[in-house]
Amino acid sequence: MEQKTFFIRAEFCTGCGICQLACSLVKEKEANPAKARIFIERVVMDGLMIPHICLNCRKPSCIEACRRGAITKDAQTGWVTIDKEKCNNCMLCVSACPFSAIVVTPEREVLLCDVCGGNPKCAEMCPTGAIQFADRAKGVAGSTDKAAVNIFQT
Amino acid sequence: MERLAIVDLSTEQVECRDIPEEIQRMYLGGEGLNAYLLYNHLAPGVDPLSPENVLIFGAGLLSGYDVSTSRFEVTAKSVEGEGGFGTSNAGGHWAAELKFAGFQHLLIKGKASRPTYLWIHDGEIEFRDASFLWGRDTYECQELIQDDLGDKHVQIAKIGQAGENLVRFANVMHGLKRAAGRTGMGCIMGSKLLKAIAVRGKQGLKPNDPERLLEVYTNHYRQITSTKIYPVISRYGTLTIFSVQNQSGMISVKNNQYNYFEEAEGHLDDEIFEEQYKTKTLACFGCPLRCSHRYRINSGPYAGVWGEGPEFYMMAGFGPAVGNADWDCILAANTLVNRYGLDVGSSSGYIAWLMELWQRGIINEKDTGGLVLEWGNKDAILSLLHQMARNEGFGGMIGQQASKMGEIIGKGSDRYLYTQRGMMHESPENTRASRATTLAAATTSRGSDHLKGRCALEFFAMPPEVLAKIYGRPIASDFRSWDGKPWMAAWTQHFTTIADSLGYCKFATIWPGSTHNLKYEQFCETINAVKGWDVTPAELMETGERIWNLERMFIQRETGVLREGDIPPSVYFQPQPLEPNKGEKLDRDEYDRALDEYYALRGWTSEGAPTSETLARLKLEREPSHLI
Repeated sequence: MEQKTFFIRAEFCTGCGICQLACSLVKEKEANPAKARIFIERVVMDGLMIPHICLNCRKPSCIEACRRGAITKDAQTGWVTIDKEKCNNCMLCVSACPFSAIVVTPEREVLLCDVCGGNPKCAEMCPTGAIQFADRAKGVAGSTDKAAVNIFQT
Repeated sequence: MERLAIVDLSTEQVECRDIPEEIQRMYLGGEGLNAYLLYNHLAPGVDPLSPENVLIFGAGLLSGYDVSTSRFEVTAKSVEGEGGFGTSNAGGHWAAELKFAGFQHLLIKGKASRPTYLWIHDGEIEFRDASFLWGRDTYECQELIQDDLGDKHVQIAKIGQAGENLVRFANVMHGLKRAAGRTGMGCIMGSKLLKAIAVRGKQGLKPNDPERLLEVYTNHYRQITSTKIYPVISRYGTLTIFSVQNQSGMISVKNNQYNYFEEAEGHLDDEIFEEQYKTKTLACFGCPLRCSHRYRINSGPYAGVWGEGPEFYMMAGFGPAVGNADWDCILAANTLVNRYGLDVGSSSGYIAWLMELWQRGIINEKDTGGLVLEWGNKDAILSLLHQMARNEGFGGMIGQQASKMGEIIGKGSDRYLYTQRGMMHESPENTRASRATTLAAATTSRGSDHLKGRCALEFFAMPPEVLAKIYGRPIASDFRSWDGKPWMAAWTQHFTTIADSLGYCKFATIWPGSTHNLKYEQFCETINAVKGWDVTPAELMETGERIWNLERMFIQRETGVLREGDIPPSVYFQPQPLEPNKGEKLDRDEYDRALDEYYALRGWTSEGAPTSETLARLKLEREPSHLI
C-alpha cells in the first residue's frame, strides 16, 4: 500500500507561517504558532527558514526513546502518532528526534503531528510547495544544505 | 481581550489597559485606534520633538488571525512638514508577534534618560539598556538584540542612525526592509532615545468562532492565490509596476521635469532584477503573496552588497527621479537607506530637487561641499545618503532642515521644490494625468500619500457597470475624466483606512487593481468570526469615514491648514512634455471644482472642515472623549 509522508524543501519556504497558523486553528482552536505541530526555524536574520515536522521515519528513534509506549507507528499508513493519555511530557522523544520535529509548547507539553488523518492542512495551504505530503516512494525533498548555500548566490 | 500598554520612558513605568469593546468597534485597531489614542492622549500644540509627543504603535485588529494581516501602524504628531497627523505602517512579522505577546497597542510617552530598548514578551515589558546599540545600523541592531536576548525568533521594530540623528524623514524599520516611512516616526523614536522594540509572544489568540475562522481563513487564502495578479506579485513584487508606469508616461523623471525615462528600457525592469540579483523570496506573516526578495550584487563597484527589498518606490525614486538607470546603484542605495533607516520617497525626492538646482546653476560645488550633483551621479547619490543619516555636510543640512532648505538656499530654488503639507512630494509619483488618484493622494491626512490615494482601478478603462458595482455610484472609465472621481477618491481613502486599521496588506485587497481580491465583505467575515460581532460593509465604510474625519480634526487642531494643504504640487498644473500622455496636466479650476465636490460629499465646509452635523453623524462630536 502507498504510504504518504511529508517532504520539506526549505529553499522554497518564505517564512510566512501560514502552515503554523492553520495547524493551530485546526488542532488548538486558536491562532498560535507556538502550539502548531510544525515549527519554522528562522536563521540568517529571517533569510532562511527551515520547517520542522514529523517525517514519519521508517525506524523512528522517538519510539525507541519513549519509555511509556506512547508513540506508535501504524504498519499500514506508516504514520507516527503520540497517545497523549500515555505521554507524561518527559521529552525523551524530543531529544531523540534527529529532525527536531517534535514540538514543545510554552506549557512544556509535547506535541506531535498526526497528519490530520491524511489531509494535512499545512500542506494544503503552503503557497510555495515547501511542505508537501506525498507518496514516500515518489516525493522529493530538498536538502537544507542546498537552501543555505543558495540564499547568498544569485 | 485586546490590550493597550502605556509606556512612560521618563519614569520607566508601564500601565496596561483593556481596550473597551465599544472603542474597538468604533475604531478597530491599527491606524483607527492609533488616531483615537493620539487625539485623546496628546495635548494640543506640543512640539513634535518634545517628550510630550506620544508615539503610538498599533497592530491591526485582525493581525495574527487572517491571511495577509501583517501590518502595524506607527502614529504621532508629524515631525516632517507642518506638524500634522503623522502616521505610517509596515508589514513583516512584528504586528502578529506583538499580538501573541499580549498587546495590540503601545502608547509611548516621555523620554528615556539613556538609550533604551523595550523587550516585550508574553505580557511583560522590560526597559533595557541600548547603549551598545546606539550608532548601529538597523541590520546590526537586529543581530545584536537577537544575541542580547538569546532568541533568533524575536521580532524587532527599530531605528537606524537616521532616527538617532533626528533626520526629519527617518523611518521606523522592521526586519531588513520593512519601513514605516514618511512623517518622521523614526525621528520621534530617536528623540525619545528609544532604539528598538523587540517582541516575542507565545500566547494564543482566541477567536470567538474558531471553526468559522478556519473556514474564512482557507477561503481568503484561496481567493488571494487565485487572482490574476497573484502569479506576478508573488514573483516580482511591486517592481512589476515600474515598466507599466514608465511606459504609460506616468513617472517622475529628473524631479518631474519629464514623464518617461527612455534610458530605463532594457536596464531597469523586474526580470533583470530576478535574473541578476534575486537570491531568495520572503513573505510577511501569514501572507501567500511573498513579494519581498533578498538580493546580492555580485560584481562591479558594489560587489558583495546585499539586502532586502526593493520596491517600485525605490526603483523609481533612485532611478528616473534622479536620472539613474543603473540597477546596481539602486540596490546599493536601497541597502543604505534601509540600514540607516531613511525614507526612500523623501530622501530621493530631495536628491532629485538638488540635482535640478545643479542643472539650473542655482547651486554649485561651493554649496554642496564639493559634491557634483549631475543627474545620475552614483557617488553623489550615495554620498548624500551617508551625509543625511550621519548629519554631516550638505546632506546633513537636508536631513535636519528638510523642506525649509528652500528658504536657506534661496535664489528661487523653492520653485522646483515640490512639497505638500510641508512634506517632500513622493519622488517617483507623477499621477497628474489620472484624476481620482491625484485628488485622493493630495487630500490624504499626511499629504502626498500614494498608499492611501492610489485609485488603481482608474487606470484599466473598466466598463462603467463594473465600476458602479464596486463603488456604488457612476464613475467615468477614462482616467482623465473628473466624472465621479471625487467619490472614487473618498471611497478609496475609507477603504485603505479600514485595511490599515484591520492590518490587511493592501496588495491582498482590491486596492492595487485586482477586482477579485479581498473587499469589505471578506473583512466582515473575519471580523465577525474573530469578535462575534455582526459588522456589515456599510458599517465598515462608515468606520473608515469616522477615522478619516478624526484625523482631519487632528490636523485642524494642530495646524489649521485645511483647503490650502489639499492642493497637489505645483508641477502637476504644468503640461507633461513627453509621450505617452504628452500635454496632460491638471487644470486649476477643474481641480478646485473637484475639491468642492469632494468636500460636499464628505459633509465638509468649502474650506475643508467637517461640519458639526457630519461630526454628530459619525459620533465624533464628543472627541476627545477619553474612553481609554
